[in-house]
Amino acid sequence: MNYQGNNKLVLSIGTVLLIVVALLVIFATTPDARPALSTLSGIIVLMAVLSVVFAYEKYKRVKERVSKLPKDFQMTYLDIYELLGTYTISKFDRQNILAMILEIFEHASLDQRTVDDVIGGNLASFVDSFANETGKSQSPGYLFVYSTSLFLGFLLLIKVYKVIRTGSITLAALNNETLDIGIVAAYFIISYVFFPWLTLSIRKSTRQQWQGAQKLRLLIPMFIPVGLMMALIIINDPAWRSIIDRPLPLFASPLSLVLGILILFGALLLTRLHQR
Amino acid sequence: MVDRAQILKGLLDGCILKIISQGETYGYRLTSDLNEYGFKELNEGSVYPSLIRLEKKGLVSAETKKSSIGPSRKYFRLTLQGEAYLHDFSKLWSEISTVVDQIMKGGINSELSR
Repeated sequence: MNYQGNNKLVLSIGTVLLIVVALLVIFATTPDARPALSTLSGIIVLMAVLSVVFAYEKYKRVKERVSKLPKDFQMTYLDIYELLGTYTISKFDRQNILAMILEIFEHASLDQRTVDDVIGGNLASFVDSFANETGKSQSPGYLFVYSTSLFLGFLLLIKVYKVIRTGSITLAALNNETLDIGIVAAYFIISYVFFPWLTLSIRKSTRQQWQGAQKLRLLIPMFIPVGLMMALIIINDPAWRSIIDRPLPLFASPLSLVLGILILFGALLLTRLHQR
Repeated sequence: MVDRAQILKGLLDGCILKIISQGETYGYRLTSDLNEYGFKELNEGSVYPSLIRLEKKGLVSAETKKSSIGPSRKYFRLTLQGEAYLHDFSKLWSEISTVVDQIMKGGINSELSR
């Protein structure tokens, strides 16, 4: 078996390339929007590049930890590191499991055993046996509450930004600064479709040991947020624009804002409870 | 065909606690000891998760120590709770194994048939 240990790095680099292509298409098709989009594009590309840098730094740090192991043990450890991220286990338990697996690998490599001998030729089953003692793979319930926290978090953040941007936090500002149907629908799809699909893809990639070009399948879910961003900007058809730009009076009152925040905290609490 | 793994599942915790009671030890060594005793099918993928379970139940405590000859190791020792559990396990195993031995030798039937 060949182990790779770099799913998230592939994902980060692929996403940056997709975003750059999307921005080029947007610039080409909507010349009038170029001035307004320049700053936004710069920020998006900067965030995407930073995410690649962070992913690479994390990959390097984890790899350094296992640098004294033989290559195949190193790569397997990196795969296990990523696979454990798809289980609902606490950070403490994850660190504990990784420490134990590192201990096993260090001793096994000193005894000149092979990786396949240690894990029984089945990486997923090996990791399952550890993770099952501390947590479980991400259930539909966990994915749903996590998606809910993402969705509400996005919307509250934009709402707060729009209100603060007016220069005064007043009831009028709360009522007037609305969210558009297009933005709300886009974030809904990103939270409830894109995020679970991406999580399950990463898990599948590690469990099934996707090789080479197969890893590009990880980028398929990325077409959702990139495509939605392009659609929101490029679509010029008046009929569609009237739907996309229609205001939604979300969090238009202090009560609804407080309710939104309470539901957000409730969802975050439920994600923590799922990790126990 | 008898499922050996299923039978072993119920006994593994007790066996691990017994070995730990003889002196603090670490997972890799424990696996090796269990293999030497005759549980050849056991590997680190079975033993280490059992240690996680026992630690969570409070039957063992763990301490990581650096080794002079190589990698750091997590050493396990029995807690008071673990000692009590081991005592109960030993007693229960003694009772059950006596009964099973008797049945396997056809003891009761041969008594009844006289």
